[in-house]
Amino acid sequence: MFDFSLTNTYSDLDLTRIEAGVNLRYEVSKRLSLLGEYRWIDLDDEAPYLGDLTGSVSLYSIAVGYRF
Amino acid sequence: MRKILFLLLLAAFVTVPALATDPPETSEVELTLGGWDASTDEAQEVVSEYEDTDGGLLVGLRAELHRAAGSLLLSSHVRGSAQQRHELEFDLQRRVRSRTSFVSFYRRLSHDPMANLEATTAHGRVVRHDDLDPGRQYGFDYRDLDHRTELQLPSLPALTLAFTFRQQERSGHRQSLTISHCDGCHVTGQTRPVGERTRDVGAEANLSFPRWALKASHTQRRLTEKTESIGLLYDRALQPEQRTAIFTNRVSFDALNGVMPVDLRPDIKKEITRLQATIPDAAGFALNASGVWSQTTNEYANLDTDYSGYLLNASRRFGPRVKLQWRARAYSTTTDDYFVDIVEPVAQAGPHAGRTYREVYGYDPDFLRRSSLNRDVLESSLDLGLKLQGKAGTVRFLWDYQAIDRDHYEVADGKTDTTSHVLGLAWNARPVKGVRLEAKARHGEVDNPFMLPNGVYSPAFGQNAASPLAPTSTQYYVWRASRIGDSTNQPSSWTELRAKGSVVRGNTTASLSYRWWDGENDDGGLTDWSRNSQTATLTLWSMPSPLVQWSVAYVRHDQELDFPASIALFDG
Repeated sequence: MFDFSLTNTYSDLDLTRIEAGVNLRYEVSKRLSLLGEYRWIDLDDEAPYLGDLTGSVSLYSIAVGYRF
Repeated sequence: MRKILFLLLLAAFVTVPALATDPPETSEVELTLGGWDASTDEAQEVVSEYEDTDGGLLVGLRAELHRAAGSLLLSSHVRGSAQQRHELEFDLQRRVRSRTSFVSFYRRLSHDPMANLEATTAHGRVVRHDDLDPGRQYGFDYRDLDHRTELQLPSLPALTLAFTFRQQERSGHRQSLTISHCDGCHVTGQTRPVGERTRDVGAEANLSFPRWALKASHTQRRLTEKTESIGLLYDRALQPEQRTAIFTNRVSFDALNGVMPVDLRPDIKKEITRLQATIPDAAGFALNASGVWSQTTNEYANLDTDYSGYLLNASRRFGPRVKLQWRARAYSTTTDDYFVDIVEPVAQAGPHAGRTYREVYGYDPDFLRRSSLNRDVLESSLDLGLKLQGKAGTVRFLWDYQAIDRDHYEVADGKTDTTSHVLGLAWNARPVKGVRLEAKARHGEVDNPFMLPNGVYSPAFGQNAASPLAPTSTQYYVWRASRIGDSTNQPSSWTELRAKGSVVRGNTTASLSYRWWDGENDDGGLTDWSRNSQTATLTLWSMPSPLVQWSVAYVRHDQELDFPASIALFDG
């Protein structure tokens, strides 16, 4: 009536998280600089149960810096 | 929180005119302005647990002023509305030294769909769930304001007085799960507001001389929750087929008691006193000894927990190549006992009508709660370093020991104490210029690791379910007492390996680190727990010219966890 063949796998956790990032700063002049950053994070849920936690996010930013 | 932050910043800017009487010796201000955004794919609960993904403005300010009268350092970073970091430091001729920091970020919390809580038997008995706020995304804003100001007068240079203040806040919403009916039959998920604030206010006095130093401090902490509890209307305790109130003597309350408070968060206050003595040279040893005494009070139940702890650090060099460091700690915790008087209503129908559970079966549900945290602990950490010849580096021999003696909790049959030994070997070296290497290996053995003895798996057999309609049926306390499985998530044996290396070549630095951990525990009855994890990190940084610098980082983390889980098969 009930299938318990997979019951022993419900408590398994198997997660892989990879994070990579690049950070760049360019000094245009003595006072002015350009900044950039990119980060990528990926999570792979290889033993999902009830819900799959797999997901990824890319974060990027750009800015100008001024010294005085 | 905002008012306090504003007052502290105002105090900083009030001192600026005081510094303005003389022109600055050095000053530098940098303003950063930009924007950021994010793109997401699939679930974000874990991968973006501490990441804001809404995008927004990027604002940064860094100011540094140094003058004869004092100095001022200000650093601010704002990334969208949720992520901020501010630091302010100033000093007035070194007589007044002040530091304030503020951090805020958003943390995501998970939402349990409870999709596994749906089962029905042929007789109509169910385990079910209700999510009163389906699809709601949970999380909270975290804010931490930390401040310290020191006063040291030229007439008393050995004495330093300090005032400390710290306030942490969590505000948002999380999921609250409550169980109704008998046991796990009806689980309700609802939104619970989070409005938690922890505030520390302290004073400190330091007396420092060349041969000895003494420090004393006292801190008062208070934890409050804006919403003390939420409400739940429990199910009516009825037999699921006959719909009669034969179970009311097996529950303490049900729907007849109206909406009940659940997920209660009591206010807590804590007082901490510390005393520390330092002797830089006592027969060649550098000594540091301290004592900590605290009392924590649960203001809702008026329960106290007392803690007293003592710490000793000693270190000494034996010649130019050998260094010994030893750290020992002893502490004890004691929590008030509490008598739990179970509410015992009578059955309203069935063969036990008019009688309590105790009157039917002779079972006394009341008990005296004695804290499992009451204990005496002794810890020792020994580190013997040996500098090798030439550029072979330094080798360290490590031994950590811990003995926990619990007053009221058994971690194995008749055993209340846990003893662990960790032996380790560490090495670091700079074999050639620009290269740095580190490696460490540790192995731990634990006698009687923390475990729940006889907490799972009952071999008892009953012809009938524990029902009032079957007078000879096996009762719940008999099922529980017959459990034979020991559950744990603590290893009885484990091994850790770490390696790290960095190479600097010109304007480029590359570093690599790796960690491997493996542990297991099959000491108890039917216990079979193991965990294996490994993490590798690679970082590259380069400054090819004075105008350009870049960095790249890669992190990989793998983890496997195996343990037996007990899944209850519900039948009414």
